[in-house]
Amino acid sequence: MTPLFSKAGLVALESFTFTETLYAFDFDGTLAKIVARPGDAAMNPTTERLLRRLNRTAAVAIISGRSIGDLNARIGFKPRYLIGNHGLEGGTMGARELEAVRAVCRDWRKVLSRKEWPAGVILEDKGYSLAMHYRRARNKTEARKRIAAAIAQLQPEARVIPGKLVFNVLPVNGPHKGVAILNLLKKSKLRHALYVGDDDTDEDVFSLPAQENRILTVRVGKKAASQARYFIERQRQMDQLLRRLIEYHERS
Amino acid sequence: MADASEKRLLSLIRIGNSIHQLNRKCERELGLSLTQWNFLRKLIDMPGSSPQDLASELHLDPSSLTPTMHRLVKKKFVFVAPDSKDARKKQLSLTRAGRDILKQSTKHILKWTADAL
Repeated sequence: MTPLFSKAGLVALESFTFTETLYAFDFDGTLAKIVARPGDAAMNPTTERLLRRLNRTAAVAIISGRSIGDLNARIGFKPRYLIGNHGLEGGTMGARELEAVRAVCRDWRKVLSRKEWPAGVILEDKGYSLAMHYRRARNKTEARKRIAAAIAQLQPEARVIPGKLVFNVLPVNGPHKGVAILNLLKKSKLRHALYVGDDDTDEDVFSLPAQENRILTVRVGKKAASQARYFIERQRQMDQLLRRLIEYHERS
Repeated sequence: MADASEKRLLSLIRIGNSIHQLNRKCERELGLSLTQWNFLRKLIDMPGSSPQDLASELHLDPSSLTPTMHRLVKKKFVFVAPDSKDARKKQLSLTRAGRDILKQSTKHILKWTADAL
C-alpha cells in the first residue's frame, strides 16, 4: 500500500480529477468516526461541509452497510447517489427480490433474537441485512465465538462479513459494495471512481480485478492484507482528502 | 499518365509530408510532438493505467511507447510510480503540467490540422 499523501499518491489522486470521476465513500469509519454505539455515528460538521461542497461540483456517492433511511437521517444534504445495506438498497435489485431478502432477514432475526447473548452484544436489524455488534461486550473473544457459531447455523446460509467488532449478515446471492460501485459507474456513465473505505466490507471494492484500475482505492488505516492501493493513516485525515479534491476541482 | 494506384501512393506521400510538417511545427511551437500529444490525450482518460494498457489503447508495441514515456516524464508531464499491487508493474499518471500542455496544445493542433486540410 502507498500513502495517499505521498508524491505518487497525490499525483494519482489529482489525475483522477482531470476526467469524469465518481467520488464514493463508505460512512462508518470513513466519513464518520467509529463510535461505541452505532446509533451515535455522525459526520463532523467540517467533513459534512466539505462533502457537500464536493457534491456541488462532482458526483458523490455514499456506499454503506447502513440502511438508506438511516443514512438519510445522518446526512444533512442529498448526495448524488446513496447505496445502503452493502449494495442491496439503492442499486439494481427489484422490489420483489428486496422483499425476499427482507423476509429472510426477518427469519434470521427471529432466530438470533431468541438466543441469550452476553451483555453488550447488540443485534441491529437494517431491513435487508443484520449486524451483530460486540464492541461493548466485556469479553469480546467469547462474544465473537458465540456470534460466529450462531450465524453459522442460520438457514438459509448467510454471507458473513466481519467488520470492526461487528459481524455483518447478508444474503449469499446479494450484491456487495464492489458490484454496487460498478453499477453506479454504469448508471452515472462516469468512467472512473475514487473509493474510500475502512473495513473488510470495503475489500469487495478494493479487490475488484486488475482491469478495474479505473477505480482509485483508498483505505482508512494501513493494513498489509488489504487490496486497496493507497491508504490514509486515520479517519480524521478525511477532511484533508476532501479539501484536496475540492482544490483540484476548483483549479481545473 | 499516372494510374489509380500511383495516384493513391502520391496522396499518401502528401499526407505523410503534411503530418511530418505538422509534427515539426508542434515540436517547434509547443515543445510537444504529435506522438507525445497523442500519449497525453489518451492518458487523461486512463489515469493510473500501466504502460502496457496504454500502449494497447494506442495500438503500439509497449517497447515503442517507452522512449515517448521517458521524454514526457523528463518534461514533468507524466509521473511514473511503481504499482502498489504488483511491484513488477508501473502506473502512469498525468500531472497538472501535463494536463495544462494538453489543453493548450489541443487547440493549436486542431486549428493547424484544419488549416492544412
